[in-house]
Amino acid sequence: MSMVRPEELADRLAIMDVLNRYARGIDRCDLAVLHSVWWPEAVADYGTGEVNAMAWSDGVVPALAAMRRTQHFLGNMLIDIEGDTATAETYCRAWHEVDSPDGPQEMEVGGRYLDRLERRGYEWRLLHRRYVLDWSRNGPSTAQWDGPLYGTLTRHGKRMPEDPLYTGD
Amino acid sequence: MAADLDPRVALLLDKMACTELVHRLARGIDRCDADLVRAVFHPDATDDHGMYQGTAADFVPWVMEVLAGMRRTQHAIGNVLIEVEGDKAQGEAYFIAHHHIPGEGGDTFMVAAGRYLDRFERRGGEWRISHRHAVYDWSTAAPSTDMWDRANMPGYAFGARGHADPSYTHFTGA
Repeated sequence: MSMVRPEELADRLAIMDVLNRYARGIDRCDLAVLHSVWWPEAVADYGTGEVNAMAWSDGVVPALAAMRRTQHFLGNMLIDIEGDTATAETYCRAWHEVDSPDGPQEMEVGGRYLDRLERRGYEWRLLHRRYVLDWSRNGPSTAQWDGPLYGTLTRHGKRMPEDPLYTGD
Repeated sequence: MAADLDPRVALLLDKMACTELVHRLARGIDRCDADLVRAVFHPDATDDHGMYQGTAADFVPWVMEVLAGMRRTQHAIGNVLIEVEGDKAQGEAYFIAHHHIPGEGGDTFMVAAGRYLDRFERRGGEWRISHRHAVYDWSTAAPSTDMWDRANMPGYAFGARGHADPSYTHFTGA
């Protein structure tokens, strides 16, 4: 893993944007945003085999929309750039709230994205993503959105197009 | 550093280099990779983890032994503030550290959060950590609710310690 070279600065920032934009696409269930992070022939492997990432995106958005809400919180990013290709590892703490017969459940997953990216022209996108599972936490939801403190926090995240990101509310 | 760089770009590069050290150190710890951990410190660097205070060289075997008592960890880094002054820099990096700790009644999932107050130094053109000071802000612990049957989920990639982790072949292109 090399140190940051001056000529890589714009590339690194562009790659970080792609990685962050993926989380936006996923959490807002915004298929157009999600599609925009992959090259057309990109491959994704989330544990059930390598599949075309565009097709994977088409399937995952309805599955995410069926959940109450999600947040993919990205942290550490290690990025190696060599010319027009890059290798990256990104930490993610993914929070999901889902309905179940026993009431809403929280599922939290700590993992990492192992990515290969490619630059075509001036644009970086993902060419291959492998998801690594590190830890998980599961249990009944303890979400609390009422009371003197939490009750005042009324602007809740939603999916495209109701989220404040789109409405500006 | 090239002298003709716009000072704003130079500052950005320095901040990025320091942030990268924080991320590389987290990777070294989570993979229990002593070489990766050593590589982010200057040879005479020091570390203060509260329960450990001393040289970074001695911190490495100490932390590896602590990690050996755990099943797995993930040190997620969030907010990183870096202030650069010439060849020195001060960092504050928020962390949330997740630990699965084996016990007689089953695993405990312990989360400890805080900040790494780092001092960085550039020597011979290369930034490394000269001192790490770990500050703890909050923690929470509960019986583990991890449900993955790792031995019987073929196809899924699970995090591992050492070179068994998929990130090694990923970065070497193997």
